Amino acid sequence: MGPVRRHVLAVFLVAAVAAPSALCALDGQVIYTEGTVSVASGGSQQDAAPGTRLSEGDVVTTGADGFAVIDLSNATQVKLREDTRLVIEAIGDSTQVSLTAGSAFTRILKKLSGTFSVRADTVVAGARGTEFFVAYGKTTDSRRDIWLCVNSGAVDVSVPSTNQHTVVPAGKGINIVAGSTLTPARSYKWTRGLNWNMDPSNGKVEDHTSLQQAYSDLLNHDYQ
Amino acid sequence: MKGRFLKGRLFFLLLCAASARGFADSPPVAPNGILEYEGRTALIIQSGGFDFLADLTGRLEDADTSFQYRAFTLGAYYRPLKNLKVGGFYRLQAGVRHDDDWVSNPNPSGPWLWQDTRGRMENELMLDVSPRFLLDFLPGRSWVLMVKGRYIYNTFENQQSIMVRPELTFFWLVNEEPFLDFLAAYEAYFPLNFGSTLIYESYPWIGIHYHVTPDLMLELGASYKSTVWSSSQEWLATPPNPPYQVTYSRWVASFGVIYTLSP
Repeated sequence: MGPVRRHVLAVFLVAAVAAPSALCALDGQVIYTEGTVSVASGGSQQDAAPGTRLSEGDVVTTGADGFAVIDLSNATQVKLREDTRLVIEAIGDSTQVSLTAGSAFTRILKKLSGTFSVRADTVVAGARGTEFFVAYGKTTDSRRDIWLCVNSGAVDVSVPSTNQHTVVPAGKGINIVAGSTLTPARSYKWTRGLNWNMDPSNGKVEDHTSLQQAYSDLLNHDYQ
Repeated sequence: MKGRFLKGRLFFLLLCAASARGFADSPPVAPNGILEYEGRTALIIQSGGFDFLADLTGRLEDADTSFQYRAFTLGAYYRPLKNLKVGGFYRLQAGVRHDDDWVSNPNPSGPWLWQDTRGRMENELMLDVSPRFLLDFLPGRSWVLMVKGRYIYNTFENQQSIMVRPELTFFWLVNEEPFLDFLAAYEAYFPLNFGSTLIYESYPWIGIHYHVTPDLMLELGASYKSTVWSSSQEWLATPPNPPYQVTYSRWVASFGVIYTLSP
């Protein structure tokens, strides 16, 4: 057996929808915050508030009590949960963000002229869909699980390093174990509690669903 | 002459009765090499931090593997701490053999025997506490050590006992979810107000759970049970019978189906 090589990979969740209509080439902006939310831009960091402009290279970070909803090009919204770090890699026809910590909901508001990508570490996966949730799960030997759950549309997920590929339909999710192994897409009870709302006028946008529920609680087993 | 003959017959009959009675007054004899079978089905409903449990158990016992023990258990577990579960249960059971069920034969010349308790319903109340710990430093990382302590009050003769069961479980995870788990335990019952031994029943126990789905589980188990029968009240009340302690050991194979509902 050869030595174990640690792959430095990336997760791309690509939501691509053909778009006949032209989009305004707008940058992004923060549209909702709660708790500690900051934006690092050009070497400086500031507290974020609704209306804070976002550009390529900016990093949005939420604290342990933080929530934020950002808009990218008036076409895509991303809701960041607590303890999340999101890097805006590109905004435009092809919008790309990197999720380096935490978890985020993504919603495509209208058809895009290009692609929308969410990138994470250790694995590469591609998805197409309109509303999905991405989160880092537990870490084993410094390799993190990545969870992906789809609320609407279908998501095409692949792991290029291992040539794995699957389609996750609405209502189902997958766990990319240790960032490298795709599990079969299926319904997970814990995802029923996810709050997909991103519009404060429609009610609360916070989501406190514990990712611990995604894992079997071995200490809870008791049969007699 | 005739009188002497009658006296002789009477003496002979008395001698026979006495010898028969002497033969019949024997403590229970523990059979060897017995294999018993136990089956159970359980429904667990998880709701609001509680795990409600309903369980039906039956057991084929003795050398003739007759259907003796049957029990219905209802109760719930609650988890006040991550590493602790407490529970309260009620059990309705029949076919349980207690020490005092060793009785004389209704036929004066017949041997002592175990009373048929299949029609005798007993009520049990149980209080349960079970700390458990994840031993993630062991190879495989999915080992759980649990020690279950259970207080049992049986309305039959107001018997009280304490059950202690340390158990170690290894979960074989597939895609982070249990696929099989292997369990080894040792279960011991300490009588509080009956019997003449510190432990009246104990057994090592191994089991396998096959997690067919996250909700459905099949259970296979094997144990080697030892039960100590102490003198029954009737036995001690029948002079000159001396007290006895008889250890009854047998293998028990068990099978179960467990379904979990999480509304």
